[in-house]
Amino acid sequence: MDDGRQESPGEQTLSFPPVTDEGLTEVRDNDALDGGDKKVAPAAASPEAEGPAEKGGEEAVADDEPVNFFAARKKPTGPADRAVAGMPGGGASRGEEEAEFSGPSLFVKPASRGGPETPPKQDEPSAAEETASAEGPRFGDEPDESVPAAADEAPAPAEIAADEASVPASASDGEKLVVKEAPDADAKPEETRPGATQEEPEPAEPEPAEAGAAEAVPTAVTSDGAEPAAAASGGVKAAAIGSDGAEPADGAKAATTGSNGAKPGGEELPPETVETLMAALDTLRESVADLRFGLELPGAEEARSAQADLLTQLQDYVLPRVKTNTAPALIVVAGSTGSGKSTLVNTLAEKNISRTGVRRPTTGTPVLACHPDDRKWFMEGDLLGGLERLDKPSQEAGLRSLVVVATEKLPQGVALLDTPDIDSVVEEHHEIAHRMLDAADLWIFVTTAARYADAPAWNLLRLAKERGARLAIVLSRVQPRSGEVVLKHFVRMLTEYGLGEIDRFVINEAKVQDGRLPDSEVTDLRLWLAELSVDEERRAQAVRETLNGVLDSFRTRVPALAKHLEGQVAFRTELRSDVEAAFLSALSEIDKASKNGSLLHGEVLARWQDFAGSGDLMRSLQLRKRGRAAKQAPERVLAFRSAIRTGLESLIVAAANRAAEEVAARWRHRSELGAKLAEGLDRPSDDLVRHTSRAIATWQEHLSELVRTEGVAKRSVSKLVSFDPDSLALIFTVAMFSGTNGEGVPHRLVTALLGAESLRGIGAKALSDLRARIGMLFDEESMRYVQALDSAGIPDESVATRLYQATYNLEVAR
Amino acid sequence: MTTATTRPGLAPRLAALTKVVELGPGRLDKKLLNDASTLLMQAGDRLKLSSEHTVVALAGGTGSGKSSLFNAISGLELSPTGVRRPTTARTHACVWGLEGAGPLLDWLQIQWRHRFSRASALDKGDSQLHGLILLDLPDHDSIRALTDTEADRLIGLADLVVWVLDPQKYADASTHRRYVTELAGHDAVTVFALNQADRLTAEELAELVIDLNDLLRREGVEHPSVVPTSAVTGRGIESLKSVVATAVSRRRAAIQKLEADLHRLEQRLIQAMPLGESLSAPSSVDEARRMGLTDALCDAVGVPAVGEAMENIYAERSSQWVGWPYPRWFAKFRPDPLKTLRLQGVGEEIRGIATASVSAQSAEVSNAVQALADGLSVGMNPVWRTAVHRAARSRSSQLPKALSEDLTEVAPQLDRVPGWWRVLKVWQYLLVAAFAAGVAWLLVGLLMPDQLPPALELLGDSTTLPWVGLMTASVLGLGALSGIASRNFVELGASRERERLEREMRRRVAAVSTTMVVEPVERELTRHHTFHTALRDLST
Repeated sequence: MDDGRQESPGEQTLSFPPVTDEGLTEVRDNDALDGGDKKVAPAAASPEAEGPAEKGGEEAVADDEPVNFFAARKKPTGPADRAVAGMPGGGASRGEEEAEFSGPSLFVKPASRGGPETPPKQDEPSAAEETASAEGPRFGDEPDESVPAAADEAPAPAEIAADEASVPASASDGEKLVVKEAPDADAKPEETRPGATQEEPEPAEPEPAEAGAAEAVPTAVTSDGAEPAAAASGGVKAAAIGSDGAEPADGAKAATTGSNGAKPGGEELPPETVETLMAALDTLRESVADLRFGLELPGAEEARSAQADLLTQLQDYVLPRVKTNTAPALIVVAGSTGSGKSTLVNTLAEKNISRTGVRRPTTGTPVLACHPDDRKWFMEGDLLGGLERLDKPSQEAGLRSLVVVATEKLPQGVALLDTPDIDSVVEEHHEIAHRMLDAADLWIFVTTAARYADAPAWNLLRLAKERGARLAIVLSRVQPRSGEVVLKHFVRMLTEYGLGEIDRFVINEAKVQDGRLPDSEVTDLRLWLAELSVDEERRAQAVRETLNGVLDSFRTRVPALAKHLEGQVAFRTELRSDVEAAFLSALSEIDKASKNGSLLHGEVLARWQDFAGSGDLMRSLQLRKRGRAAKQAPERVLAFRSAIRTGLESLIVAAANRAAEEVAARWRHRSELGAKLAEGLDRPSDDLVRHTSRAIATWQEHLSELVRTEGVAKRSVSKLVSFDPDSLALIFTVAMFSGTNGEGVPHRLVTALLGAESLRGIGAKALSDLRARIGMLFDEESMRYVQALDSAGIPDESVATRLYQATYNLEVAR
Repeated sequence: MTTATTRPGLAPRLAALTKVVELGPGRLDKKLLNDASTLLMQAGDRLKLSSEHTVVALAGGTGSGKSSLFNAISGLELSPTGVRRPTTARTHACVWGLEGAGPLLDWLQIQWRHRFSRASALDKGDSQLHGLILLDLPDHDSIRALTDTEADRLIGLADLVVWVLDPQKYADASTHRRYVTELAGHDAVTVFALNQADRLTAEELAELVIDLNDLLRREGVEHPSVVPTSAVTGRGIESLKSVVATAVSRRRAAIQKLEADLHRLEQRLIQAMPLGESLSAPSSVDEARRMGLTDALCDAVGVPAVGEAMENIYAERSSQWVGWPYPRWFAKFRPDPLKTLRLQGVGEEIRGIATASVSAQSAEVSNAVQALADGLSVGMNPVWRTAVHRAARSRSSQLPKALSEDLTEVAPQLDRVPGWWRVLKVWQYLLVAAFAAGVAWLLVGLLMPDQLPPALELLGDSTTLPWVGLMTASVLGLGALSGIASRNFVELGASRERERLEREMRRRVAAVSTTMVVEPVERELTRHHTFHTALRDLST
């Protein structure tokens, strides 16, 4: 197979050399790999004794030459793949692999209790060096220092780190909290302790090392200097993240989390603190429950689900947890579909409690396994109180149920919860899984060798990181043949992600018998569980840490909800102001039209000319003579009157049309929801014309009445001249709308007849009456919009304020 | 040659889509429009490029064995496989039958160094794969894929997509929700390879195939074609090959794929813009509507009122000229109310009012235009309704002014005095003079018949006096009669004038409204009609 194939970079430009089985010529170049591989390659080629072997292992996976890999699989005797081929051998246990590949992060805990130890010592330096070079190029130059430091001299550099760190740490602004809490911050370092030294498998640690570990966290954050960072990387794995220099934020976060976890970790919470905390949480829950996101704005769906999440988490987890924090720890097993969650739980419980199978997704109902002594707590407790408890899984078990199974094989004080997947087509499963995770004290995240780069998996890890949840990672279904490479890559990804220090377990792909794995695969996990069970303080601390993480997350999650609500309120206000503005501008438009004489156009003008020119105007004025009524031409007066009515009507209708259109356009412009609300509202209502004509007719009558009753003013005139009040009202209207400001015939006529004083009085009254009537019409119109808005839901602003208050109270109570 | 029969079916639909894309801006959602033009471009490009080749893409999640399958089908180790996730970052292509494939690969943007070729002539039994371009895509579900859309792009471009699933990931939401559900209707150009079958027992495999089939059917894939494969044992590779070979030899996959894409897009278009009653909406403004608009605009200008005013004013004014002078003289002695009000000049001004010109009421004009647009856009999609309204109103701000100006040209001169009025006035005064003379004669003849000079003897002739009296009386009657008659003539003339005037004004209003309202509206209506016809053509 090998012969006949050769790399020929010179032929890169020939795109299609004929390829046959006999003579295969490959045309490609070296950078077919991703950046990570490229970075590793030179490091692997550094002058180390085991360089070639390592390189071979590396190339088997990442090399651009498929030939090699193929050969490696077919001919395991080749020198290049010794490392790979060697691994499945009995001696290379999973624990060793971890010890090797965690490198400077010094994740050696599994090694300390791993089975028979036959580590291929010669591999270790190069592996460590490789990881180091991937993390920070700086370490690539001095691999000899970092490795021994990791192996033997952990306490000493840590001490140096402590000394050196204290100054910059306290000097750093904004990190006071970290510094102050650092001496107490044994939560995080404690976790590192068991693995920090191989000589001391006991959890108890020499004092200097602990102090060093505690101090090293801020050091990593604040200092960029190679020296203390390097030392810290030898002593504390947490520092390994920070020492990248690229992720100071992560380091800071880790430090904060650690310190927060440590705060209540010192002693039991006094009852009154619990009480105030409970009260604050209750208020928070009520406020959150009161939230209503009525408007379908972008993000409303998310806000609603965030609200539901928050509420369920408060009820299912936070409240019960705060009430009794000595309860057994709930460990939730979550992960992708087909990653073997159920199989893992079955194996650990040594009982087939959760269905396994090839169908995806398999598990739909969460299954909880616990020690018989803890069963009562989980059956009756408030934890996950919203779920119906079942004794055994059944077909008709809904999504809102929880199967609780007792097994002697699980240690006391820890319960395992098998969850549905997070990434299958059945989206309800994702919800349940997240709900379970929300109630978890510890997360076990299960992924597989085929899946560890999946986006959903990393989303979940990100969530865990955000929530500050205690996390352990299980990489299952690892082909023994490729385990080393996969694990190394996975660890690198985790480290880049700031999760390098998390507890990790590897389970090889093995024959699943009766829904269970061979027991040997889960020994470490079992030990880990047992340790949690025995060491009550550690368990309680893990529980508290997660709880604190959740409470911390409220700081951002609750205000986010309040913010969205405020957005809704603001949106509603905006829409309402759109309506108001549009109709206000319509009113002012009418005002303007009534003042600038534009009403006296078209028919009104023609009728006025008719009225004046045909002598009707003159005829409406008569010298007072006994027994002689004023002669009228009723049809022309009536036509004039109706022309004025039509003119006013059309003015109002046109303005309302424009206003309606403007509101609809503005709403549409604002958002999709606005467009939906404005549907059918871009026209004025059908009743508008009818209402308007009625309003104007009434107004005209009102005006005649005014002229009749109040216009009898000038006594000097009234003795001599009589006038027809209806005609005079028309002349008055023309005078009012002609806008010539006291000039013109109609004005002079009415002034002469009525006197300036009463003219002003009638004019003001008539105008304000007209305005009031139009205002009422428009109010009716704008009510339609307000109703449309109301039907979409009315957000209550006070709830947002209450939310902020509740969050603040919670912080105070803590 | 085989495609020649199918392409004409696609061509009119693509032409219809072109129309839709052309007319769509402002009417369709931006994203939809974008997708439509992208598809149009894709289709154009693909049809231009080699029809002898079929692009088959191996797609799937990371770790499902796309590269292994790629190598197994090609029989060569072309694409690197591995255990690290994700393994493949760049698309690899293998071509069976090289000639003509270059531009197609360029279009697919496959890098030169990742192109391989099989000289199929040398292959035994692979001849039926001649014309195959096999693509090994990067995954679409790893964290790397979040920032890399290569797989996404090529899944959209490939003629036939082979979804490589594996027992662990076959039900992943990332595959199903994002692609399979979206590609419903692509049955003919989608194959599902259930890879890594070697990891399962026979019973497990059978169960899984059933489960997968059910799942796919639930998602709208009516006839899922599921092929269990194993790149390790080589199982199922041959059947997958034969499925691919069938598609390749028929040379139809590209067309089928485009047809399915078109169908999909058409569904979205129809959903965004339901055809409904739209095609029955008018494509032009009919006569009745034009009449209605003209009527409404005439009312806005006040055409009937102007006519009436003219009639009345003529009648009133003519009496000053052609009427019997006596009542006028008597009226002057009546006390004037204006004088009493100390408004002496106002009488003239009131007469002056009647000389003002014609003008249009802008509010009524805009209501008329609105009513027309409302009537035309009944049953239309809101977007189109708005567009019709906008078109109708496009020049409505100038409309009142244009109407006023145009109509002022024909507006009647209300203070006009025709010549025959003057003649009649002279005649009336002549009659008055004759009457006065007659009265004088009678007086002279009756009172002092004897004192007349001999030259005027005739006046005193008593026999003529009765005749003179009769004549005087008849002059008076003649004056009254001619006053009434000419007044009637004035009214008759005025009403004729009014008819003529109204006709002329209507004609002008109609002309103005046609250029300023009807024409823009009709353009929009035509656009609406064309768009929906294209939409209908697209779906047939």
